[in-house]
This record gives sequence, C-alpha cells and structure tokens, in this order.
Amino acid sequence: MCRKTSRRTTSRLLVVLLLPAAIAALQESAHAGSDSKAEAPWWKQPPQRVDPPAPIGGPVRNPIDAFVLKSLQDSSLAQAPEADRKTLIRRLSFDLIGLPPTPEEVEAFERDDRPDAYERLVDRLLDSPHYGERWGRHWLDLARYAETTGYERDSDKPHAWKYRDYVIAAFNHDLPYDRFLLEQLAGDEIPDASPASRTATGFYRLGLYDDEPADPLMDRFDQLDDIVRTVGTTVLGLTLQCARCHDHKFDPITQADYYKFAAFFVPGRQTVRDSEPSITLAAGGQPEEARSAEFENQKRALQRRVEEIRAGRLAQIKLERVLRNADNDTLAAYQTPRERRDPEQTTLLRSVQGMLRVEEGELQKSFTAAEKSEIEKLVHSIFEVEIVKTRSINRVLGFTDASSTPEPTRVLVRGDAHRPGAVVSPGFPSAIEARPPTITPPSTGGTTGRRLALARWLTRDDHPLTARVMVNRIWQHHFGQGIVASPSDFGAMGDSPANPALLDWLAREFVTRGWSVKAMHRLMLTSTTYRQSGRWNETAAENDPVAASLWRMPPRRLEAEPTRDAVLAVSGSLNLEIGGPSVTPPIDDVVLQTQSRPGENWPKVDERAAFRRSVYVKVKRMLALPELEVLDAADNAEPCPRRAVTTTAPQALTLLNSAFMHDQAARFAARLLREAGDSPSAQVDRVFKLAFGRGPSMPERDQALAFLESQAKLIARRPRPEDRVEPAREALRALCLVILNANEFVTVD
Amino acid sequence: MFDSGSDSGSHSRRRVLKTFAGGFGMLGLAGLLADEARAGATRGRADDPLAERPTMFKPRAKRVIFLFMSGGPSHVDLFDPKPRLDRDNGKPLPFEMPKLVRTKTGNLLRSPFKFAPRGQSGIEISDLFPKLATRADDLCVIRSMVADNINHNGACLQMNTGEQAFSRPSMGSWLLYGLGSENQDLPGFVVISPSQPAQGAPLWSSSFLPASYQGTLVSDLDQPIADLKNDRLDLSRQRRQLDGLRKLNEIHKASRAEDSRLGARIASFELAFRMRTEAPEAFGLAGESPATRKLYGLDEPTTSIFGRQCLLARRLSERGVRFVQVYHTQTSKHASCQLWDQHGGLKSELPANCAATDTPIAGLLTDLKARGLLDDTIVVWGGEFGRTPTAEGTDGREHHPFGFTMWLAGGGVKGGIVHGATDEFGWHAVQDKVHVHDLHATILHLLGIDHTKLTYRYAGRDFRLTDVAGEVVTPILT
Repeated sequence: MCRKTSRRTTSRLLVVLLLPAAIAALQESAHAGSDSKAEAPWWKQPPQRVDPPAPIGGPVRNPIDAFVLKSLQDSSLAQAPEADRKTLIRRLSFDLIGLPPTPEEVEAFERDDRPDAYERLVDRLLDSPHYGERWGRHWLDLARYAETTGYERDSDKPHAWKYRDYVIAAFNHDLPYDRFLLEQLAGDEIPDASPASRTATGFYRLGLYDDEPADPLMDRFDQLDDIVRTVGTTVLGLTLQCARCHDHKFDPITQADYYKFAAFFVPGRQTVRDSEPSITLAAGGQPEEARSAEFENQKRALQRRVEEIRAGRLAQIKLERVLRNADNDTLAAYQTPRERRDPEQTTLLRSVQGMLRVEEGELQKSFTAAEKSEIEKLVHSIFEVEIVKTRSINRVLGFTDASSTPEPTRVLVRGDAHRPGAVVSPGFPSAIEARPPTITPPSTGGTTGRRLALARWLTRDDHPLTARVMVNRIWQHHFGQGIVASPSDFGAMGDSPANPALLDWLAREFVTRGWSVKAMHRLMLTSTTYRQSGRWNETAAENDPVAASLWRMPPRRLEAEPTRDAVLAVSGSLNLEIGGPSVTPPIDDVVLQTQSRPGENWPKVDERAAFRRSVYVKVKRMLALPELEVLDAADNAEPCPRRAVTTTAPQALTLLNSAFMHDQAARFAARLLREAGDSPSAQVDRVFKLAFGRGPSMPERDQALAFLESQAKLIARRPRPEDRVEPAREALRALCLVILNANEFVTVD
Repeated sequence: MFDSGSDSGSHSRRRVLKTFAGGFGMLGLAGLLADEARAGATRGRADDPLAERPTMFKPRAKRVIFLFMSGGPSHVDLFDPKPRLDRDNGKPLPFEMPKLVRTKTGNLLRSPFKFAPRGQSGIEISDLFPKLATRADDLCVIRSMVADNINHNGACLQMNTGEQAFSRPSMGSWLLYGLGSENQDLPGFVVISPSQPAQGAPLWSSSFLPASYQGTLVSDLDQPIADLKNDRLDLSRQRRQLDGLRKLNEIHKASRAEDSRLGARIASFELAFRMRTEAPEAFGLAGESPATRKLYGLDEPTTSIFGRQCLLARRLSERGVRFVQVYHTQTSKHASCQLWDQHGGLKSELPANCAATDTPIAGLLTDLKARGLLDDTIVVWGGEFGRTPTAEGTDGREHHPFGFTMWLAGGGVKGGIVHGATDEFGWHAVQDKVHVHDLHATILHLLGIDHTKLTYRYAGRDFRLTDVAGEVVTPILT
C-alpha cells in the first residue's frame, strides 16, 4: 500500500511512534512513576515458567486448551463444539499449505476412522513441500520482500528470489527458528557459514533502494534505518526506529539505543549498488548441471541416515508398548515379520493400531543427545544440499561487512546525517539488556563479528522477546489474532497480551522444543480450541464480537495469494513446480502503460509459468499483479506483520471482469466437462466439491441447474449464429465464474 | 431468483438493514428510522446498506471534500501571522512548554514568509497561497484548532476517526452509516491518495461498523479503477450472473448472519456492476474543457497531480459521493506519507507544497461555486496538526497539536471569517478553542446529524464519532 513512498519520508514517518501512543503510555508512565519499586514490565523479563491452569471440566486436549478454557470460564463462557470434518480439512489445508483440499482428500479424511485421523492429516500437511510456500510467505511479509528497488527506475535486484527459496526451504525443513535467525543476521559470520546461510543474509538487502539519492549521506543512514526497523520490529517486536531523531518521553528506547543498535550493521556494505549482487560465492569448477546429480546422491545418503536413526527408535518405542500393554498373541503377531503374518495376526494388529501410533513429539523425546545432534546436523545438511542443488548459487544477493575495522558510529543530532554527535559502540536496547555485547571477529577474517554477537544474543534461550514474538505470530496466523494484538510492537507502546500466561507457556515450550516451528503448529492445531466450529453465540459476542477469547473459531477471509492459488487449483491450471526465478504472469496493457517504461522487467511468459503459485510471482515494487494487489497484498515498503482485510467494489470489478478470471472460469468449465461429463447434475456436484470441499445442498443444486438452463437458453437465443456455439459449455463457464466469486470460495470457516 | 434476475422487493428495509448490520448494533440507525414515513422516503435499492437515509434535521450540506495535507502544515507560516515572532525571533519561548512534547525545539523562529490581508474580509493569508488568497471571502479560517496527539499516526487517526490509539470507524464511514450514499452507482466514500498517508487503511476503515462503509482507495491517477470494462460479457448477461451469485451468497450467509463482511462483499459486487456504467464517466477527466484543466492546473507539472485529485473530487461530489478525501501525498518531485512534515526545509519544501496545491484548491473552490455545488458541499482543509513557532534546527519546525489552523468553506459555513485565535506566539489556542471532536460534531451537524445520537453498539457499548465529547461550533454557522 505504500508502494510509491520514498524512503526518506518513510523513515520520517517511522521516526514517529506507531500509534497505540499517548494515553496508554501516559498511564504506564504514571504508574511506573508512582511506584518506583514496581517490577519491570512483562516484555523486559524472560517468559515465566507457568503451569497450565486446571479448568473445570471441558475438552482439554493439550495445555493450550487449559489456558484458553480457564480464561473463558472466568468470563462464564464456553467453547463452540468441534467443527465437522469437511470444515476441518478445508481450514487446515488453507492454513498450512494455502490450497484447498481436493474432493478426494476431503472424502478420504471423512472416511478415515482411525482415532488419530486428524493428527495424521496435520502431519501430512506439515510434510507437504507446499507448507513452506504458505508459511514462507508470512515471513516474506515481515522481511519486506520485493525483488526490485522501488522509486522511479524500480530496477531489478538480481538473485533476490534465492532468498525467497531459502525461506521456503527453511520452513519446509523446519530449520530451528534460532538457526533461521542466525543465518539471516550473520550467515556470513557463523563458523559453519554455507551457501545457504549466505543466501539468508539477503534479508538485509530487500528494502527500498534509491539508486540516485539527492543526499547520499542521508541515504546511507536511511538504508541503515531500514535494517534497524526491520530487525527491530520483526525479531524483537520493538519499534526502535522511533528513537532515530531524539528520545521520547514515554518510550524506553533511547536515541543512544538506536545508534548502538545501528552500529551492529554499520560495517555492512551499504554502499554497493543494489543492482549488483554484493557477494559472489566461490563455486568454480564444474557446471551446475553436472553437480546436480551429485547433490541428489548426497541428499539421499543423508536422508537414509536420518531414517535409520528414526526407524530404530520407533521400533523400540513400539516394542516397549507392546511388551507393556499387549497380550502374548499380540506380541507374537507383532514380532512376526509382516510378510509371514497370518490373517488373524494382521487383524489383531489392526485392532491395536492406535497403540502403535507414535506421536512425533514422543519420538523426538526418545532420541539420545547424540542422536538428536546427529539428526540436526543431517537435516541441516539436507537443507543445504536442497538449497544449492538445482540453483545457480554462484551469486546471491547477500550481505557482509566491508571491513573488519569499520569507521566509528556516531549519534546523529536530530537524526541529521550531516550533524554527527558522540561516538557509540554496538549495544543492545538498554531497556532489556544492560550488559555490553562480547564481540569477537570471526577467524575467517573480513568481518567484525558484530552481527554474529547480535544474532547470538537474540537467539538466547532466555531472551525476553524473540520466542514470544514468534509464537505470537504463529498464533495469529492460526487463530486470526495474536495473543498480543500488535504483533510487531511488544514494547511499552504496544498492546498487552490478552493471556500472558499462555504466551509465556508457549514461548518456553517453543524453546524447549528446539525452536521448532512445526512443533508449535502441532501443538496449536491439535488443540480443542483450534478444532472448534465457528458457531455464533449471541451472549459471548456481546462483549467479544471478534472472538478474541476464542469462544469460537473466527471465520477468516483468504488473503490475496491463497485466493489466486485456489482459483488456479480448482480450475485445474495450477502449476505446482517449486522454487526458481520468479515468474511474470500477463498483466493488462492498460496497467503496464502506467509504468515509466511500459513492460520493462515484466517479460511475457508461457502458460505454465503464468499458472505458478503466487509466492513465485515477481514482487516488483512499482508494478503489482492486479489480482494480488487489489486483494490487500502485503505492503513491501516496510515489514507487514498483518494483512489488511478490505471489501471494496474495485476488488469485485477485478474478480468479475479481468481477463484472468474469465480465462480461469473457462478452464474450470473445461475441467468439469472432462471430469463430470455432460450431465448438468454431475457438473454441479463436481463444481461444488472442487470449489467448496462439499457437495451442493438441494436448494443450491436446484438453483445451479436452473441457472445453467437459463444461461444456455439465453445463449441459444442470440441473434448471430456465431454467438450461439456450444450454449451448454458457455453456460457452464458462467456458472464457474459465479462460483469463483462466491463468498464461500474466499471464506475459511 | 437464481435464474430469473428479478429483484426481490419484499425485503423490508428494516429487516435488510438488520441483516446487513449482522443483526446487532444498529440501534443508532434504528433510532433514525423511527419515523416510518421518513424511512419510506428513501431512495436507492432497498437492500443496499448504502441506500440514502433521512437526516435528523434539515441539513446545510450534503457532502464533504476533505483536503488532507498529510504531515502537519505550519499554521504560523500560512494562516496565522504572528508579528511577535518577528520581534522575538531567536528568543526563547517565554513560558513553559506543555508536557506533551516530542523534543526540545530551539528558540522562536519568525516566519520567512509574508502575510497580507485578502479579499473584502481582509483575512491574512501567506504569500505562499496567492491563488487561494483570491478565495479568502469563501473561507472560514479556524485558528484555534486543538488535537491531542503529537505524532503523525495517532494524530492522523484522531483527525479521521476521533480516536488516537484504537481502531475506530472513520468520519466517512460514520457519514455513510448515518446517511447512506446519494449515488448508488459509485462508492459513497472515496479516498484519493497517490501514496499512502501515515499508516494507510486505518484512516478510512469502517472498523466495527459494517464493512460496506469503508473508504475505497484510489491511488493510481492514470487508471483510477481497474477492470471496469468487460468486452466478454454484456451488461444484461452479467446482471443475470450476478443474480445467480447473489442467490448463492444468500444461502451461504443465511447461517452466518452475524458476519457483516459477507453482506458487504455481496454489496460490493452489486456496486461493481453499477459502476460499470457510471464510473468510467465519473472517474474520467477526458471530457473536461481546456478552461477547467487550466483552472485546476492540470497541464502544469507542478500542479498536475493534486489538480487531478481535486478535479476528481469535484466530479465525484457532483455525482453524490458523500465523502471524498483528498490526501496530498505526492508532488512532481517525490511521493511521501508526510509531505507537510517540515522538520527541516521550511524555506524550500513548504513553498513547494503550497505551489503544488494552491492552484488546484483555488480552482476547486471556484469550480464548485460556479456549479452551485459549494452551497451544499463542505470543503475542509488541514492536516493532523500544525507546527511549533519555535525552531527545529535552523530551518524547521516540530509537530504542534496545541493550537493550529484548519479552514472550512461551503454549505452552511460563514465565508470570510476567522474563528478563534492562538496566543501571540502561535503556541496555544487561547480563544474559542476548537477540538478535533468539535470539528467532527460541526461537520455532522452541517450534514443534518446530531453527533450525540449517531451511535453504534459494539462490544457492549454505544460508540460515536465524537466519543463523549464534541460541541458544535455554532458561531461559524450561517
């Protein structure tokens, strides 16, 4: 939304506080002033150890439910009943992979009568390579990801897409969040720096970039400000940038804090032109293709070893359970190799299947420290091979220090680059860490080690903010609103947590579970809280209409990317290819004409490329794909912690009239003819199942059939013979356009 | 209905409104509708939340154009001359600054610009607005504005929604909720801003009001509304398809009556359909005469951007768009969230901003008057706050909400008057203070709404634009 904003003024804007300002701040400050012995505010202290409360009765599946249910009970509220399976699979699919379930998947899930069918579904979706595309996009929102510089020229940033692929792969491989941060912040300085970790440093380079600044010195500090702001809000959940020009009365972040924090990044190569990748990775020698087979073999070998370890433990756990719980017959059946079991034994084992199902969490706990560390190393190696494998990794858009002996950092008087003040050394925000960092230049040379020191501090297990901020983001994406409603503002100016104990419990759990994002998904998704229906409750709504307390699962509207992807998916045109350079689907000439040089850096592509998932559509700052832009796509001028949800006529115009939607409706119709044949009834049935994950109700079926008939009649009555071709097919296209525009298509219950 | 396309006339308006509002919270509106006879007099489609609704008393104006100078324009350099600053230039402010202060500004700073009395009324306006100065007798200059927040985001929120910190419906949304839209074929609340002002969408959000009342942003002046045309589908076939869509959506919504977003989305498709015929005309500037283009400065690089914004505003107002907000966020030189934020560059940036807006604003007033529209349109000019009479650096001023200037013109407002005053330094508003809530109350009053009675029940409480404050500024009314 801030696409055309210049950097200078953006920073001015951000010099100023994000709003929840004066009143709350006044109150807090008045409070602190009146009681000098008051405890430090919650966000300055590490997450506290809390035991889940004991609500009275209620369906508690895991501690999350205990926290949520207790707070509901305190307000005399209850939760909604569990949603039906059709709703659950649609919710989970959009939530985890950003795509609708196929009718076959819906049916299989409904038929699955195993007690852990739901958990299996969660696991399947978490294992999907499309999970990273969905959750990577959430991170890209925070990283203000774009592939061009913005401003008048809006030049390409070569290789920026490799950062996007890195992020997707990191989520897919469940790269521990602490490691994920370490690589992005200091991927060039860590002892085990790799092509992947160097790619990750692209994080620093994604912002707006003025290639001909009026005031180059000021611009250098604006670049720095972009980094301070991005790291501050995204990782720490603090709006450090407010202190660029001066102290603020109620804000514990001082101007000195700002410049001390900025000093971590000062040695970085700010002066390099963004159209030049700053890092050339030494790769030499063999051409990429020749190496890719080699990578494939490496990867398989690594995967085999992981499987060996897992299989060993799994067998042991299962055997222990059988020994503990089962009778001798079962034990015998279990110990008989599968191919030699008689039918009776097979049936017997099927009956105890539930017992043999091992939760991922339990398996994780069973590993010895040595196994755990080996697996971690293996998984990371696989991840790196994956990143390197098929891509040109010779060059990336990376970041490193210009030298190991940087110029001193000075406070700028009133934020004016031309008025340097006192020298400061790198330091953490004094409100949360008084001790100075220990900075050791890495032995590899060439860098200062400052960013590594910062990254290590940020990823400390007892850091007061890092884990809280991230679990809150995960929560927000699953439940619609964060426990802290201002996801990038946890400081004195932000909102207080609605359920502080739950936030702390989750944050500690996150760290305990090795900063595993997928572990947090499992926790949240398998809770009773998440499995609730969206049933309305007038009494509960009286005081909490948006269901912030989770007395129901609040329905949500799909964001831009899953909406476009769902259109492509149901029409049968979606190309699920993963990774690689971004694609530029066709944009109407009228829109291209608004570019200063129409069509520049937006080449024509073939159909397969045009139909790839939205996360692979080139993010060009001054030219956005209308199907995405109009549906509240992320602002990329600065980190976007939460998408806007607007409902306007221009959205409807694009969804009704664009060439893209009409083409998709035609393809959808063609698919229906292929899959359901000529029978209108079968077509209607199929169109509902594909688009909504359910069959039509009787009234819906009647209405749809009548619609088809009347449309066909209209077409058949047209005056010109050439307009009367294939009335039934034309009518079906019309129905498809209607279905793609239906509220249900973009609503997740 | 799915197949025939006939519109149901059976929906009683009351029921439909209830449905659109999600079945709760429409008490304020229900109050407005107490008189069935008045309710019967409404125009527009009965099932549209934007259907025009009766006012509470005789209105003085029907619509608003709010020219928002994003960043905080300097009152002491534009509309509030202070000879004392010339005399005491470089001296410290002789009294203690208020507690709500962002930074330590320096000493008093005289305005580098000259003022002169203008028009018959003799209102003093800076030389930076030569064209606007010729319209002085149309202006009601309020020199005693007061706001509560010293930062852009909070202050912009307050100026637009009445509240500084939380999500609340914007003034345009409240007006649509209270009055509906005069034109059912265009959005009733349009925001024209080439760049994002302050934090963007929250400034024109409908917040907890039904989603149909949110502002529609137009940011691309070359192509204000995309996909208006559809060569593949003529209007009558699209009408039938929309009937099908509507039926499907009604079935889906039946079990989700509480979600106003669903009703709003249905309405947005209906509006989109009607816009196909109306909007190309409304948003197109091609038919305007050379004289009009000249009046708004469309052909001069300096004024062409804001000129187009103002002309678009006139075209929309002319067609009954209730609330048009024009944000000045882009000049020929650069785009910005806060163009008028002169922490520095007072002598260069401020004249540039004035040059970019002077002709377009004067042109707008002239044009509205010539067309008889100024009688029932209120034009509001201002930013989120003013700027300190004291210096920031050598050539800048800080944010200043304690006393600043805005002006009104048009329907029901006295022209050629100055209301209120700041102290002799231009620091505090001292006479006839007008708080943001008072301004909101006055605008609602001019449109025939009692600001204390336009309420909406949400989360167990009745909310209104003016919260628990606001008084109509009666001395400025005609």
